[in-house]
Amino acid sequence: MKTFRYASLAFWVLVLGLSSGAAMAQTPPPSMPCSGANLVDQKFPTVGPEVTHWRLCWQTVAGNGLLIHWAYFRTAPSAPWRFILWDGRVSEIFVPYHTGSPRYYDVGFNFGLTSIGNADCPPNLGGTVLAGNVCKEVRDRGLSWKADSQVYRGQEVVLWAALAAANYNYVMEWTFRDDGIILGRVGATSHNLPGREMETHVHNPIWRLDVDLNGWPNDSVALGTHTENLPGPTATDTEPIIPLETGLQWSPRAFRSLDVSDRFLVNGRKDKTSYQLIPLPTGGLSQHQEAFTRNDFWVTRYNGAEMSARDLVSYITPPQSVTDTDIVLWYKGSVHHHPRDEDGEMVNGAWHGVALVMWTGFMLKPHNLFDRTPFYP
Amino acid sequence: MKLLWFSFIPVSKRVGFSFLSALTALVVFGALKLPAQEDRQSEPSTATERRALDPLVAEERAYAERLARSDTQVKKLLGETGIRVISVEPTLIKSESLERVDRTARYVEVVLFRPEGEVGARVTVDLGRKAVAQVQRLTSSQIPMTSDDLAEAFQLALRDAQVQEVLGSDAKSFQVQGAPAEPNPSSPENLVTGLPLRSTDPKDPCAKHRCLELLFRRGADFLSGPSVIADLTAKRVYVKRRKPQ
Repeated sequence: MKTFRYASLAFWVLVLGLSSGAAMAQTPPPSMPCSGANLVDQKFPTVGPEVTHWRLCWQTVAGNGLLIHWAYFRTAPSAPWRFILWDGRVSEIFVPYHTGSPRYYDVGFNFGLTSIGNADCPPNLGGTVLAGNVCKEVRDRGLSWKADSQVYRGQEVVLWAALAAANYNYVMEWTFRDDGIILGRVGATSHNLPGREMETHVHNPIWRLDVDLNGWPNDSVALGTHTENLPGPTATDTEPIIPLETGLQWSPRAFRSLDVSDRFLVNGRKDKTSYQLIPLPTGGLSQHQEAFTRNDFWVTRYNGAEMSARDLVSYITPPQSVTDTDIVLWYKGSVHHHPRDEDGEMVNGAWHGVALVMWTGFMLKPHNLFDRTPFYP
Repeated sequence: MKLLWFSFIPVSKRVGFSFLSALTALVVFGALKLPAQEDRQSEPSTATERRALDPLVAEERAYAERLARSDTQVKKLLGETGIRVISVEPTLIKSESLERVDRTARYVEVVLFRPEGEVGARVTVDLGRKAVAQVQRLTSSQIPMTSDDLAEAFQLALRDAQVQEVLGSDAKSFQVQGAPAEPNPSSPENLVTGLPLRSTDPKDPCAKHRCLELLFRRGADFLSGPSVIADLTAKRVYVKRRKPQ
């Protein structure tokens, strides 16, 4: 009996000791510029001891929709909080039709957000409706890794809202994964353009991403490029620093990425840390007559007055230095909408039907932020 | 009485007891350590403290707008009458480093527009100091359109015979989509909405003017009529029959 008592006591003392020890090791959360529903604080995994942790703010603004501010990530409870993003937003959604006209600027109107309820954001699937027009979902994201019989399923926290842009709804989605990856997507849905229901067009969301790795200034951007040394079996990867403000084109065969690094930030193995902006196109990326659509990537030096994608050419003229400073990345995605019968039909002079969501987006992927993934035992 | 049983622990079990004592000390140490850690945290001391990006309350919104409109530089730029408020939003001012950013400073960005002359201003108001911190001139193309523009465009369109023909006898029952409020798809009401556009053809007035294409909705469905483009700069409406697709 006594032995049982000792064992029981030892167990609870051990639990208490470990939990207080874990609390001791935690780095304190950073002070944030938001509170209440606008503050997202999410540890992973959601159940059990913490491995990684996101802390960020969101804001809704007429026109731009759902904005992300101040995204911090922690790679371990005892690790420092790393500042990643000052501001992420959709700066413009440019929509030219194939016949040359019309050419819409959907962020050029102060459109509001649609309302969101439990049908959009089911609580039983991890959804929480915030402020009546934003959905937060904490959910399983599928396989994180698999090694024969060993396996780990990842998790993520997702914020999304839908811009009510006349006949269209644009779903603006931001995903923060347990492995430090940020995903940004825009999904076009709702009704085809009245009077031009079957005319092909392209929705080009252009994101403005004020990435401030480890704060600012001291950030630089490198152009990641893969080259197959043809004819021949070898390949080469290069990452030259981009010295001046510029616009650049993405190349799928070159796996082009914009890699942001901080002059002082290395991981525990003394390897330089970066975040890589990697396009996730669905089918392709378009270019149009307008100069600001001729590049997929832009790199500018931070200027609080420069928020509009359609003015990008003027922002880089004349080009300023973008090394060891405060930088901003811009990325243009494309949704090529070739209307189909599934989109709807004409009934008594009105279009009846809905276009299913068509996505385009990007990934911000950490490189040497961890010493190794903490999700492998 | 329950504590007394510790006194009767056999010698053979004292090693285990020592282990327990060490763990107990760890718990006590952890418990003592926690408050000190909390002191170091830089979180606000009270849950009610307003942070820089927390949504504006009505009083803050009204006050920021009043400060912006009464600023000398703004008055010089826009005048004092016929000014529209485009947006009023909390904003965060970026300083030279992350550590120096004031997370609680309440700044508000007010965007104003005067349709006459088509000029605007982005005004940054410091609510804490009750002063305007910055004024930036905006050109016509930098000013987002709002439900005011939509209402004006619809009034222009209603004068057009072709638009009246398309909308029928209940043309005037169409309501203007309000921003930031959203249309209710289940509502049976008639709604007019619009999309800003810009032409690349230099001969087209909409290459430079503020133009809005109007779309008409009955309940959940949009009317598939002619293209109705309102040129708000020239105060004209262009109605074009669609080419067959």
